[in-house]
Amino acid sequence: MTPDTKNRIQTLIDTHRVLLFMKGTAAFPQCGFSYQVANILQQAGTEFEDINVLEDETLRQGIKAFTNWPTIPQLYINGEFVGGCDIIKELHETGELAKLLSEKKEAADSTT
Amino acid sequence: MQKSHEPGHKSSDKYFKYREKDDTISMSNESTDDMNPSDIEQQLRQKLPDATISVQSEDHIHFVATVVSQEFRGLSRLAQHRKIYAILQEDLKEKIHALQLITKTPEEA
Repeated sequence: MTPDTKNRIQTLIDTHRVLLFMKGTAAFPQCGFSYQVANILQQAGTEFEDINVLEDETLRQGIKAFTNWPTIPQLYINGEFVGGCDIIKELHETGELAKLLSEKKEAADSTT
Repeated sequence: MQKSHEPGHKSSDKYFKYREKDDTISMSNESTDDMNPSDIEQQLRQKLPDATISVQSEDHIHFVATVVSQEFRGLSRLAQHRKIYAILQEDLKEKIHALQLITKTPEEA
């Protein structure tokens, strides 16, 4: 991963509270796992930025190295990697994702 | 998967014929692009000897692995999955298209 790619990813993460690296877009997911996570976030009523890694091979490979996580989708909340599809599904089922989203929101709001 | 299509078995001729006709047909465990669930299971077992492991796949590129190990104790789910990914690092680059993970400690199982 070039420093350029690393900076690009870091900037994306810094500028979006809820950020999903996925295959396809939230409106048109192109992979079942990406679809599931996008769907969960939409259900939760969360605004999020979707980044289509299929449109950018550098980003597609870069994000795997950046996160040290071999698969896509990857969800970042408030600058922190939360997980891939299996983890997000579990967090959603246990209600922890909603908690995480709202807690993080409060934390983020209080700093503004 | 049909074990009978492995080279060395009676149907190996048939297997090669299929491969010639259309090498996108993934009939055999022996294709270099394919992986057996048991290969993954073996790699995991080597690094996590205490674990209860089950790996399943219908197409040999998408896998579902369930791993119960005491080594997961005290680790977040994220860290548990990273442990598995680290073990399968090489194969995740090429051979494993998708790996669904279910990791648990013995207490959670």
